[in-house]
Amino acid sequence: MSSSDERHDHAADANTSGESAVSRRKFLKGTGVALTIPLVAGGEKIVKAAGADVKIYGPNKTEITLTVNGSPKKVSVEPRATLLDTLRNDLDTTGAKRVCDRATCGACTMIIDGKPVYGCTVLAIEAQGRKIETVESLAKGDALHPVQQAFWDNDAQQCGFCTPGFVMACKALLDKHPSPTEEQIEMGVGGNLCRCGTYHGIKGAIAQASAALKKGPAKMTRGGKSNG
Amino acid sequence: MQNFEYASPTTKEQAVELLGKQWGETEVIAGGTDLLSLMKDFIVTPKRVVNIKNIAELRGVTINRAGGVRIGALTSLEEMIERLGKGYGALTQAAKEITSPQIRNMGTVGGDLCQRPRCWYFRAGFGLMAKNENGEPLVPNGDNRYHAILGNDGEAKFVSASSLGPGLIALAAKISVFGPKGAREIDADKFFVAPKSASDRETVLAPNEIVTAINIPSTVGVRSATYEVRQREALDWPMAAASVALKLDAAKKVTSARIALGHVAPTPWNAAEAAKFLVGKTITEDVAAEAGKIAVANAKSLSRNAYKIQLAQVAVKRAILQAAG
Amino acid sequence: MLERDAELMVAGTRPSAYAKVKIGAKKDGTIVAWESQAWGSGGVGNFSFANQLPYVLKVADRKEVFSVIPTNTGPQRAWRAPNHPQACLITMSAFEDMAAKLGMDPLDLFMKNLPLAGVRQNVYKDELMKAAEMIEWKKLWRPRGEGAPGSTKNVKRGLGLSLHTWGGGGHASDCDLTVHPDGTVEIKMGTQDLGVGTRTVLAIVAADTFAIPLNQVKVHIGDNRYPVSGGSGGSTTVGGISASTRRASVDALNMILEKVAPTMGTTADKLEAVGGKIVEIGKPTNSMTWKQACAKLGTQPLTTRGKNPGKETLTTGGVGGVQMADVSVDIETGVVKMNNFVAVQDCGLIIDMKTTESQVFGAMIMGVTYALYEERVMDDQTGKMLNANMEFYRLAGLRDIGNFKVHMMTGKGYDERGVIGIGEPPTVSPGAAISNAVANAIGVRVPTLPLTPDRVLAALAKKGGKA
Ligand SMILES: Cc1cc2nc3c(=O)[nH]c(=O)nc-3n(C[C@H](O)[C@H](O)[C@H](O)COP(=O)(O)OP(=O)(O)OC[C@H]3O[C@@H](n4cnc5c(N)ncnc54)[C@H](O)[C@@H]3O)c2cc1C
Ligand code: FES
Ligand code: FES
Repeated sequence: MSSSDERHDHAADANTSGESAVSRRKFLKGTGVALTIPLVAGGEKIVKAAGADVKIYGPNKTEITLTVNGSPKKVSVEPRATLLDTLRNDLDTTGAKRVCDRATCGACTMIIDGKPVYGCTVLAIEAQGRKIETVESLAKGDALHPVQQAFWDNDAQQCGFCTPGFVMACKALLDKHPSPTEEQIEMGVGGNLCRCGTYHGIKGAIAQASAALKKGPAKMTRGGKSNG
Repeated sequence: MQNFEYASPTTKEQAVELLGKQWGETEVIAGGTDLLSLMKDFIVTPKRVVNIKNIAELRGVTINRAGGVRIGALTSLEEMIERLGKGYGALTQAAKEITSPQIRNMGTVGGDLCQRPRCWYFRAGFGLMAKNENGEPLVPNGDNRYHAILGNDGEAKFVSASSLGPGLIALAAKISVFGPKGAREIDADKFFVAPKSASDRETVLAPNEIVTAINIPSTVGVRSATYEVRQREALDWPMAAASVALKLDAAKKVTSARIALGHVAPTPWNAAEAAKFLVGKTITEDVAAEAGKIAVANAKSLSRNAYKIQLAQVAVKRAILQAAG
Repeated sequence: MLERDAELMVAGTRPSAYAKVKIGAKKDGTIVAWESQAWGSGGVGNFSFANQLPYVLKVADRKEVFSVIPTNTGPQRAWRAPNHPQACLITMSAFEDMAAKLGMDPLDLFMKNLPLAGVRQNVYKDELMKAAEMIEWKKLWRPRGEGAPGSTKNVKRGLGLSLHTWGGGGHASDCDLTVHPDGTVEIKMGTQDLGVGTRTVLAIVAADTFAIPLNQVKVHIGDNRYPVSGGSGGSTTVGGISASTRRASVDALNMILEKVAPTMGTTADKLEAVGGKIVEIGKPTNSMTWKQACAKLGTQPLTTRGKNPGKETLTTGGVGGVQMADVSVDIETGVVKMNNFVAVQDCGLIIDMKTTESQVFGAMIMGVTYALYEERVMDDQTGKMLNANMEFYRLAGLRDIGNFKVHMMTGKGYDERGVIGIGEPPTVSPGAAISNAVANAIGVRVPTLPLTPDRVLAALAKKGGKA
C-alpha cells in the first residue's frame, strides 16, 4: 500500500459525518454484503458464472506481465494497483509523474496501443497484453527524440512535473497528425495542464517537432536566443 | 483505494451473474476514468470490480438498415466522434467538447451515461445527498454555485455530469440494458432518475444490470446541435448545456423538436414545453430566445447559482440557432 | 512530495485582499488624493500588507487603513510576488475607473501620473509606449463600454493595462568554482533549481568569463554539502548566484592569467580570454588555447570561492513592468477569453534571454489563471476545502491563454544596473490588466477576481443588463 493510500484511509476513517463513510464502516464490519461468491483472501480462483468458468483475481497479489517500452516485465500486483504506480514503484519506470492521480492533469500520460491515456487511471491488471510506451522509450542513448529536442530548444519546461506527460501527448498528437492544425494542436494537448505556464514554449516545440519529424533528427542548439 | 477482487468476464450473461444485488457491493468498470477516482476517494468501496471490456458484443458502431445507429456501450468517446456523421451533431459536439484526448480515448459511451455526479460535497465524502453528521443538508446553505436549478425540489441537488445524456434525449435514443431477467430497452429520457436516497443511483439500472448499447433512430432530416457554456477550454465541465434536435419542413417551419438541458438538474432535463413552443415556427433569434426562456421558466435557483438560469437559457437559444442554421 | 490535493490543502494560500477606494483627480486626469480602506485574510495568523497602497503610483495626499482578519483556515503562504498582485489590482483598477469617469484614455491618464512613480518614471514611460505599440492600443482602444473593434452584439472586446514593480536584488551566495588541468570547469553551490534556469545561468556566467563552450562547465547544485547560497525566492536567486559565480570565475581567470603570462612573455593585465583562447590584448597572434593554459596548472586543480555580496555591485534591485491585455467577454454567458496579452519588462542585465522570457511567459500564464479561474472554495459549514482538485480549482490550459508577446528592455540604462531577478514582477499585473480590460469591454467593473461568469453576469445585471 502506498503512502497515499494510507492517507486516504485515514481521511475516510476520520470522516464519521458522511454517508459514504458510514456505509464504509458498516461495510468493513461485514454487515452490508451478501455476494453470490464467497470472498477468500488469496491469488486467483475460478468461479462459475452463466455456465462458464471465470477467473477471479485478488484481492491479494497476482502475477502479471506488462510490455513496457518493448520489453516484457513480470510483476505481482493487487487488482487495485494502477499502471502508473506499478511502473513507478515496482518497475523502476518513473518518467510518468503522479500529480493529481485523478485523470485531471495529464502528468501521467503514456501511450497504450498507440493512444494517449492517463496511466494513473488504468489498472495494471488491465494493461496486460497491451503495448505500453512511456517517455523513457523516446531517447535512443544520448540522442533525444525530436519532440524532446524541441521541448529543450523551446525551453518548454520549468519544474518538469508536467513535461513527460506533455511530451507523450505531443508525440501521440504528431503520430496522428504529422502537420497538425492549430485546432488539432489544442485538441491534442487539451488533456494536459502545466502549473508553471510553459504553454508558449510547448506551442513552439510542437511546431519544431512537426517540422523535424518530417525532415529527420533536429540539431541541438544552445539556449540563448529569444523565444520570439 | 480499498482493495477488491477482480473479474473479467467475456459475455454479458457472465457479467451480470458476477455483479451483486445491492449497490455498493460490486462495480462495473469500463474505461475507469470515473470509477478509479471514486474508489481512490472512497466514495465507492466495492468488494468486487467487474471489467466489461472483454465482452466483444458491447463494442462497435453499426448503422442499421432503417438508418438508425447502434453504438456499443464500450465505444470510446473518440471512436464515437470519428464514426458518427453529420446527423449526430448533438452527440458529437458534446463529446468533442471534452477537450482531453486521454479522456476521449479511455472514456466509454456507457460510462459517460453512468458516471457519478461531480458535486463537490459528494466527492468530499458527504454522501450523494450531501449531509452533515446530523443529517442536515449542506447544499442549500453551502457553496452551490454549480448545483441544480431545475428538478431540485427533492433532496438531490447535484447535477447530472453526463454531456451525452441530453444529446441522446434530443435524438430520441433508446438505451439497451441487460440484466438477470434479460434485455430491455429504455428511452434515454427515462433512463436517468433523481435518486430518493443516498444509497440509490442516478439511473434506472439495477445493481446487476449493465448498459449494452445505445440505439439512435434514423436522423434523416434531423438537424441537431449541442451548445455548452464552458468557462475554460481545458479539462473542464460545462456550467450549463443544451442539446436540440429539429425537423424542418420545406418552408423552414419546425415540424418537430426535442430539447434537453445538461448540467442543470440531477438528470439531463427534457425541456418539452420549450420544444413544443418551437413547432410550427420559423427559427429566428427571437423565437430561439423565447424557447430558452420557456425552458427555464420553472427553474429555481439556490443561494448562489441564479446565474446558471441565464446560462441555461442562453445555451438553449444558441443550440437552437446552431441546429437550425 | 505532496500530490495536488494535499498541496492545495496544506501548503498555504495567497492571502485575500479587498478594498474600498476613493480617489480624487483634476479634470485633466492628475490624481491628487487617495483614500483606501482595505482588509484581507491570510488564514490563521497575521500577514503584512502595509505600505503597499497605493501601488507604484504614490499619490502624495493619501490615507490608507488596512485590517487583517484571521480566519480558521490554513495559513497564508508567499505566493509569487506576495501582496503585489492584490495591491496592484486595487490601485490600477481605481485609476482606470477614474479614467473612465473622466472620459479619458487610461493610457493618457497613466502617462500623466507617472511622476507619482518616482525615480523610475521614465522606464515606465518607455515601457508604456512600447506595450501600447505592441498591442496597437491607439488603434484598438475605445471608451469604456463601447467595445473595441471586433465586438459583436454578444461579445465585447476590451483593452486594459497595468504597471508593477519589484525588488529582485541578489541574495547572499557562496560559490566554489574549480578549473581542472584539462580545461573543464566545475561549479558547486547550495542553491537549487526550481526549473527556472538556475543551472543554465551558472554555466553561462562561467563559460562567458572563460570564453569557453557551455558544455565545458559542469554545474553541481542543490545539496547541503555545497557552499551556502540562498534558496529560490523573492526573485533574489539570479542576482546572488550569478554574482558569486562571476567573482569566482574572474578570480580563477586572473590566477590562470598570472600563471601563463611569463610563458607568453607579457603580464597578466595585458591578457584576456576570447574564443577559447588566452590572447594578448591588441596582439592576437600571441595566444594560447584555454586547454594549454589550464595544463599549466600541473596536477592540481584550481579552486576559488566567490561571494555575494562583494566589493563591486553586480546586482541591484528595483524593476518596473507594464502589461496590456486584450480580452473578449461574452455578455450573455459572462465567459471571458484572452485575445492578446503583452508584457514589457526590465530586469537589468539579462544573462540568458530565453529563460528570462520563459519566466515572463510563465508568470503571465499564471496571471491569466488567477485572474480568470483560480480560487479556493471553502465550505463554511464544515471547514472543508471543496475544490482541492484540478477540475474545480481551475488552471488555464493551452487553449485558454490566447496570444502572448514579451519584450525585455535591454541596452543602455538597463544592462549597467547589473543582474536583477525576474520570477515575480511579471506575475503582478495580469489581474489588474485583465480586470481593466474586462471593465473596458463590458462597461462596468467586475469587483472581484477571479472573473468568473457568475461575477461578470452579476456586474452586468447591476449595471442594468446592458453593455
Ligand atoms: C477532467 C474531466 C473532465 C470531464 N469532462 C466531461 C464533460 O465535460 N462531459 C462529460 O460528459 N463527461 C466528462 N468527463 C467524464 C468522462 O466522460 C467520463 O468519466 C467517462 O465517459 C466515463 O466512462 P468510463 O468508461 O471511463 O467509465 P467508468 O469510470 O469505467 O465508469 C463510470 C461509472 O459507470 C459505470 N459503468 C460504466 N460502464 C457501464 C455499463 N456499460 N453499464 C453499467 N454501468 C457502467 C461504472 O460502474 C461507474 O460507476 C470528464 C472527466 C474528467 C476526468
Ligand atoms: S496524475 Fe494522472 S492525470 Fe494527473
Ligand atoms: S513545467 Fe512545471 S508544471 Fe509544467
